[in-house]
Amino acid sequence: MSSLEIKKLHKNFSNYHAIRGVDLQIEKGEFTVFVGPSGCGKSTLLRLIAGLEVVTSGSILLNDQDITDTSAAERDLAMVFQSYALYPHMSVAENMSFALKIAKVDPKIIAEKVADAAEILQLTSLLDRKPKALSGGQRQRVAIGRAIVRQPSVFLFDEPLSNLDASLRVQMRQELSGLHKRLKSTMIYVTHDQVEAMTLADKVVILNAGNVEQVGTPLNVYYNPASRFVAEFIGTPKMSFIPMSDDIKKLIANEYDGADPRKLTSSTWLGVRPESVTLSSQLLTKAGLTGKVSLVERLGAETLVYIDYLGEHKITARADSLASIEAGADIQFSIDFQNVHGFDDDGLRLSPDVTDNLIVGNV
Amino acid sequence: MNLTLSQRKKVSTWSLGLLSWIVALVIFFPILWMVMTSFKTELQAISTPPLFMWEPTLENFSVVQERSDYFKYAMNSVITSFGATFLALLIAVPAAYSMAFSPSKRTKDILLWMLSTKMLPAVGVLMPIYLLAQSTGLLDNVFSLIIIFTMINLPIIMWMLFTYFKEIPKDILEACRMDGASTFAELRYIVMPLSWGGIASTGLLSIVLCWNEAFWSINLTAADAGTLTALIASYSSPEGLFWAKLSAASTLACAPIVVFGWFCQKQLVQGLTFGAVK
Repeated sequence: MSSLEIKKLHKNFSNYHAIRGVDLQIEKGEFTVFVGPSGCGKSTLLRLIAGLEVVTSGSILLNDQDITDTSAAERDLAMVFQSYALYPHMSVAENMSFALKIAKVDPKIIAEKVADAAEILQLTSLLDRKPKALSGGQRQRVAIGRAIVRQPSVFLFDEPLSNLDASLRVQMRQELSGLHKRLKSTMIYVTHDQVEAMTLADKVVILNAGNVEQVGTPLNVYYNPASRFVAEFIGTPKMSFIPMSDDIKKLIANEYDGADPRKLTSSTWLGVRPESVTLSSQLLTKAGLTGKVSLVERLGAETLVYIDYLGEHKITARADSLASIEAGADIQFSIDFQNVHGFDDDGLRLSPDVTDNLIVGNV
Repeated sequence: MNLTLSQRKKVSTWSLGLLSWIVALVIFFPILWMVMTSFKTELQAISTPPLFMWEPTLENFSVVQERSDYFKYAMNSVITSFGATFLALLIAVPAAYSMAFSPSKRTKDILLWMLSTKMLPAVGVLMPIYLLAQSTGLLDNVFSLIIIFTMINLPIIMWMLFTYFKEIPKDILEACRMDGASTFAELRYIVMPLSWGGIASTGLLSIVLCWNEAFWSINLTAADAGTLTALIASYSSPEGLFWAKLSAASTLACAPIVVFGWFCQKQLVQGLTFGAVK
């Protein structure tokens, strides 16, 4: 188990500033997920940690040892690639034992370790196959096995599940989570899929344009997003944003008897999650806000309703599976202002944190 | 004519087949004629109309062997072509590796510049190279031929290896680096095994090119280091043309490489048509 520290890290490509001063602390045994939209620098950050890219400025410390100028081969980190990157001319067993063979480990010990890893990953019957004779999920397992066998200080995963089909992805996600519980190793995982981030992470690092936007536990990030960017990125369906207006100010005053504990009235934008929106069909009292239904998506278990509010602003709401709502109809809805966040012009959150005891596993 | 689609297909397949046979025969005919002539007497060789039926004789071959030791020339050909190919691969593998996997801004220019050296007419540098060989005492010496053949073929070998190496996904090399492999281990365990077919066909092509090289071996060698091409050339000048003997010498010179090529056909075709599909 190892800890990792990143200090004032910068990376410039010829004319592109990919990483812009990242500071980050990753504790021993922690499962950290870097998440963000494509081009946010999450893969670059991982490759800098791996040593596959050269740092422009700043430093990386592994167990308090500076490894900024250490080559990838000497960092003792293992990486699982999106493309699996298996050695096509080697069998599964050879793929998994390659690193140990290079390190001149005793063949007996290698055989033991490979057998152990193969058992964990259910690869025992496939050890003699070549990668081309394996399915996508099996290849992914071999790539993970190649990392496990080495017992590295840190595991690095670069979007390892994005080449798998949806159902396999869910299965591998659960297996990875189990693997982390079993090995208790430090793992860093890059993904653009916020569901993977939410389900796997002890700590989520949300990146935007080469900067860290927020670091926290998945639920903390979900309930207390630091900025509009994070609020919009984490959670499906996305958080909706509506501009502050006199109508809404009145509703807020009604709700809180004139007080404003969540600093909503001084905000320019309100961030509303679908679960905070209640549609009039399910309301007993008067709703307060009116919009036009632009789209209804029936997912089976629930129905997503997209409402045009004041013309251009889309609000997403959840409704019952069989709710009788049609696109084009006018609809009344209310907002639960207890769970709404206010954001200022710069996209920063003004509302105080949602009470701590609501959040499971808060750090 | 009203033909159904399948009939028309048959006709076109058939006529294409016929056409390729004709083309193949036209290309092959000079070689066939050379081999036939080598089994004729000098008189039969120049008779008009040309003879297609005659009693074959081995006389020319024994004359050639008497006049000059065929095996010595063949040995020189083997030494120079294998030696130059080995040396060129030794230089080109690491060079192509670095150009393919850590290219700089100028890599493309370097590749083009290397190829441009192939556009220079060899005779343009005959004088300086001849004088260099003379002053270093390397005239009529296999080493000078090995060095020159290496330099002649290096651009083509580099280009071919470069394209083969380019085919290896970068991720695999990065995975290898993450596994703790040094650059040498990377070459030894990953790059070389993955591009083995490419390296082999590049080597084969280089051997064939060296074997057939005539300009430098004729100009820089005589009796000691002469290769088979120099041997053939010696039959075309001093005492007039002796077609039958010339043909016998040529047949002897071509035979080893033809046999060699026949065995390595698969590799060669794979190498030369590489990149045509995909």
